Amino acid sequence: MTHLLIAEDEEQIVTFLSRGLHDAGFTTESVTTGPDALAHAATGAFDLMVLDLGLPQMDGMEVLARLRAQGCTLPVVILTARDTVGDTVAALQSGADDYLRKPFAFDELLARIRVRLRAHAVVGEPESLRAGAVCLHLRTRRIQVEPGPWHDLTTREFALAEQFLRHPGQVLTRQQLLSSVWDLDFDPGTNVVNVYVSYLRRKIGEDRIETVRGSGYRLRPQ
Amino acid sequence: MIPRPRTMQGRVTGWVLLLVTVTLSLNLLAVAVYLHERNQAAIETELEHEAVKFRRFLNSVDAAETDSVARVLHAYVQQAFPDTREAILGVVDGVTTYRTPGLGEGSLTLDSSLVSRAMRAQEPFTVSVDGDHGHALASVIPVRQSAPAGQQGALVIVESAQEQQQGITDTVQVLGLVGLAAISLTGMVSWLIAGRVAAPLRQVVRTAEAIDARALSARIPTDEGDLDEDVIAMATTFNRMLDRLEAAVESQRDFLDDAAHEMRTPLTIIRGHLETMKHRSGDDVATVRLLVGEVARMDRLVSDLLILAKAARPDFLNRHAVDLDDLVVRAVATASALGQREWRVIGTAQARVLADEQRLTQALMQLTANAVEHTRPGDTIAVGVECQRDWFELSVTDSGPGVPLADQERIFDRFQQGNRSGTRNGTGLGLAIVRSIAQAHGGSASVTSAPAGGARFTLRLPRHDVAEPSSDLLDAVPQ
Repeated sequence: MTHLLIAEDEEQIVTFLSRGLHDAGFTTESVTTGPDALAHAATGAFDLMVLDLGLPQMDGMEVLARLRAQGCTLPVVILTARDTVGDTVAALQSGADDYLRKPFAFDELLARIRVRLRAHAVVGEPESLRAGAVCLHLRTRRIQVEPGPWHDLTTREFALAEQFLRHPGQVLTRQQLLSSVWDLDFDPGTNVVNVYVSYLRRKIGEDRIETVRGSGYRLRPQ
Repeated sequence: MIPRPRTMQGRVTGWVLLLVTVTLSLNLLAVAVYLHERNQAAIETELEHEAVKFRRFLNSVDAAETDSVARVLHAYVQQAFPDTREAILGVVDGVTTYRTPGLGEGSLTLDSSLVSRAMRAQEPFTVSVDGDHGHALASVIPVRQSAPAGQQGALVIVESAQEQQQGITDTVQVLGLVGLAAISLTGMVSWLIAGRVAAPLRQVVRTAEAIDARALSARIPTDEGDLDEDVIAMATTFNRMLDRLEAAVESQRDFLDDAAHEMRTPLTIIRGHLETMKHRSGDDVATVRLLVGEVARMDRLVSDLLILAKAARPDFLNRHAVDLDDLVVRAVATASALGQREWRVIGTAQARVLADEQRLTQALMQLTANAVEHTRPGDTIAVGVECQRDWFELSVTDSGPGVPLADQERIFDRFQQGNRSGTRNGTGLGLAIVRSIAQAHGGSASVTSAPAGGARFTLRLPRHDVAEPSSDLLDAVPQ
């Protein structure tokens, strides 16, 4: 049975969270202060914590920071009624796994909790992808053509490079790339793929990615 | 005309230089005039002395000899031994007949007007004679023969002032050079001193420049070294003003955060309870959906109001490098879920600019949602990007009914329930937010009629390029 910790000081919110999570098949326990949240989370009895940022005595960000400082990897989904962009960044940087702004759709909370529980169970993606001399480091988002220097990639350049390295030697059509890199399931008549392929070529060499006339692009296998 | 110095340092130095230059020039002028006068007086004394010698000579010569002017003059010129600065000439009947060597190597000639004046004169007189030999004074002593048809004559004693004049010129030159050196030195020193005095001012300016909402804690140091009391007073006043500003900004930030929290908590409770309610009948399901929809709308209103409240704050934007092509394509990808339309991307920027990606995306989402609202399935909505040298433009063009000219300015105002801005699901704040996002970036938002008849909303923003991260520096292999 999956056991969840709810750290939230607003009684009425705890009520519906417990009810909804029970209906979804989880067991829950709730605490209303920061120190209690920290103490309970550190016991190891829980599979995930839903953490409100505005807790009394010790705010959620502090709880999270101390928890991570203790080496606890318990997945944490943050709830907050604040909406500054800085808060999002700070929460994720201090080790939150996900972030939901109040008021939220309950189904979305459920979906995020399930994703976090699954992700926590999966172990070991490779550190890097490799095709011939081209090496893409997944965590640092850098690319290298051995034995050359490492290049930083922007988010989108990285996503594009990842597609090529996961399918070396394979022709990837513009539509495939639009879909996997930009989530576009149709072509709105943009040449963004060409633009980004040219950015990538600038970093790994012009001839590494070849244009297959009329169909798409291909990473040379060696 | 010298341009007016703009800085305090420049102005102080300018005035000091002016003052010193005027003082030294007056000084120099006074010295020159005084020396010249003294020189003139000395020469006149010398001439007087010569004249006395001549009169004594006249008295001493034989009466027989005095009957001839020419002879008298001849005799006197013969026995005279002038030094090199003097010349003694005898003029008889308008002709320079005798002369001593010395000044002018004997080539000194007298001006004809001087000669004729000497012939007419009854009394001795002194004039300036300037020429090849430089500045000189001449003393003319007329000599008359007692006999009725006798000769007219005059003795002319010329005393050169050249040597003394040269001395004055040299003195003035030396004084001038010393003065110039003094002026340069004064200029440099006063520049340095004025710079030191103005340094706290520049510190204030630097501090003020460094201040935005994220760094309101900067203060001007008041305990550094040997600051003057008035400078410390100024810095302290400025710091106190910063204290008040910081407190105001913080309290406003706290107020907005608290307001957000207080408004959203009841909304969260209502929505959560509605969504987790059990034993719902068919009617209830419809009611719950309606209520959840209303809560969501209320939430959007809260968010929109907060955004507008923050829009004027300096920390409204969070600027980073934004790739414009990526921004536009992802906006289309997200917006395409809003409705079945012909979605288009127009233009390519190939530029990375400094901007707030989230806010720009928010503006594009607002405009695309607006476009979806006013078009039907199958209509075209195009998101465009255009880059020029100093600005870039993001646009959303639709093939809907467009915005009447009369409404094109008004619809950007708050709570304007025009045909375009106030929509069924909107809060009436959407376009006001779009405008404030554009303005926070230093640009503007506008709407025009598209050539095909629909509406074309445009954000025109100043372009600040961000260089590609320098990858050559990253040689280390990440572990």
